[in-house]
Amino acid sequence: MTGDILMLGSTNESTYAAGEALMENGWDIGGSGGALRTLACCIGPARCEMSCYDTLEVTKRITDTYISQLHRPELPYKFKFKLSGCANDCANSIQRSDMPVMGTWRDNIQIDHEEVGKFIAEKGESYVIDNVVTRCPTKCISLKNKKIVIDDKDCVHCMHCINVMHKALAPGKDKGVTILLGGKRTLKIGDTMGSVIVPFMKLDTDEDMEKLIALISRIWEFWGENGMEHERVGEFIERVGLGTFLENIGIEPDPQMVKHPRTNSYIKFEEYTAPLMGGEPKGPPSVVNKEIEEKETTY
Amino acid sequence: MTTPVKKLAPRDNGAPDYKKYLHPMMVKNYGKWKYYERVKPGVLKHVAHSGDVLYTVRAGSPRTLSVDTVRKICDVADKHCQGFLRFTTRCNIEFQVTNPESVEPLIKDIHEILGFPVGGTGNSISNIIHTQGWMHCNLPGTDAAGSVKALMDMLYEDFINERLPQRVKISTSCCQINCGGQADIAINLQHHHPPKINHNNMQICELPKTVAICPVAAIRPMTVNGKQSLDVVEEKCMYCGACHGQCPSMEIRDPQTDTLAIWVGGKAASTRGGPSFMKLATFGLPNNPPRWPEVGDAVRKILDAYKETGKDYERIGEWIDRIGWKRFFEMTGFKFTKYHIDTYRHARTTFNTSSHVRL
Repeated sequence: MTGDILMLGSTNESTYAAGEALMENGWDIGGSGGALRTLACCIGPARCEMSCYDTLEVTKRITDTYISQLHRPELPYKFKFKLSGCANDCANSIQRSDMPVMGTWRDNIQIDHEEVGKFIAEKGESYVIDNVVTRCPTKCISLKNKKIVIDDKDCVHCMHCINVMHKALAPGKDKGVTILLGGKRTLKIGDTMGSVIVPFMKLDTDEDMEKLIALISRIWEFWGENGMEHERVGEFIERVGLGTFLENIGIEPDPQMVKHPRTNSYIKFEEYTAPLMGGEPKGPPSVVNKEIEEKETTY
Repeated sequence: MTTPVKKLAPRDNGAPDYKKYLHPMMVKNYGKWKYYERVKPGVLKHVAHSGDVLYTVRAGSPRTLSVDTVRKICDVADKHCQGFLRFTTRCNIEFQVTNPESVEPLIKDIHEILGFPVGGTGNSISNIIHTQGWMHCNLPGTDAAGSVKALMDMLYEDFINERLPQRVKISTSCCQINCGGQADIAINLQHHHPPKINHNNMQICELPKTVAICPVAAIRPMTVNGKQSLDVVEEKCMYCGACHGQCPSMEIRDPQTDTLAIWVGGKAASTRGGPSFMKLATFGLPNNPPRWPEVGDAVRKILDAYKETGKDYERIGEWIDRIGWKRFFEMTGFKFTKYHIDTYRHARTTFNTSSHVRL
């Protein structure tokens, strides 16, 4: 799952020799501890028609940019990227990476009506209703006069209809990525999935790539500075709050980041709370105040 | 004078050029694929806009490979696939050929030279993801490769056929850190008592780090026989074993009491209802090497019920959502107990807060 090769069974001496030989041949060794872990991605455009961005190229770019962090543990805890070309998430990114990057599109699903006709002729209308129309999570797809009609503004790009009718339907042409943050396996706070922090961004050009790198750097800076020992970025967000986190990495809140707005009414509106009402400047949020943290964790 | 031994200073080589390692047909049609077909279980056909066709034969691998086996795999790839192959995230090996005539000879060699099964595509049980286990992890309470071998022997027919309602992914984990991950069916080890502390050997550990890693703050400093050590508040401890990862002198494993539990309904993809976590199905199965027959029986019960009533495109979690947990427990014969009711953070969000009941 890591994409790393693990070589087992060497002695102390031969481990050094093997490591040197691997590095001399252009491979890196490492990727453990509180460091950037080896990136993983799906097969992407190399052999998949569904991939919405170049997962292999972005994997290489992020690896090369942050190769130092892969070898020199300098983060509060491990950080994993997994990149999937579409919502099928073959890289298992939402559940198993700190920063899932998922391919998506923002225009309309491409429909080949001739292929739709062939599919219905072969499988029958009721198959299409049972397995495509009623399985759509937002009920935005319907079958009218043997034609597929999609209300694309309600589509959440889940890929299901495309998976079933993959000759007839295809992702749109205006492709990009959705970026999430905070997935991890069970230890400590229980399993967490990544949650959306960037609903959509293009990831085609060098400038797009620079934007992504800048975002990663801002996240690492804030989490690196304020995260506690062994605190994954998802746990950190849970502690400081997603609102505070967004403010500090410079991203505007967006309704796509939550399943629904909050339901509990106990809110500290900063604008209404002293000392801001007296016009005094706003200090750092108390949840990330280093002094308080050190007091709590003094051993 | 001998040359000083280098100490593995990182070279920062960076990621290799991936295009060097892709089949030439994949490089030629990079980003220009049109559609795919499943020719038969284990064989995929990808068609590019240019009309080029690439056949992929998927074979199950035992994941941990000897150098001899790696050489044999490479020989097969050299003979049929211009020297290229790839591994999937579930540790299947994919061999690619461009000529449909080459598919059957390739499958023959995979069977005869490697002895690997061909399958794992579509609505099958793909290769089982497992953790390191007794092979080289320092924490395992049970084996991984061995239990996977025992399970896959039983599930072989479901690997080489596509006869389930939807794909089924299985994982196993040998301790409660659960590196195996979320899956449709997961077999995970459970510990049943707090770590046993070897106070005479605690000095090898970083004690503050060990205190900090406890998710329920059950560990505190204590001096034992004049030596710095740690104490575990037993009422708080939930036997997760996080401390054991930090400090080997806090032994959580116990061959006498550790058991296995089965979890169902995990799903990674954002398709349809989105990704989901797996839920406890049954527990208290004996950790019974070398074949773990009780685990095999329980997995078989789940799969039989799923095959009987699952609908097309319904993953195990989606199937249970439709038929309800009441019917799931009835069909599998597992007993629903108080331990199935969550007690951790956000437990209340898992309760039924409607009057929707199946009667």
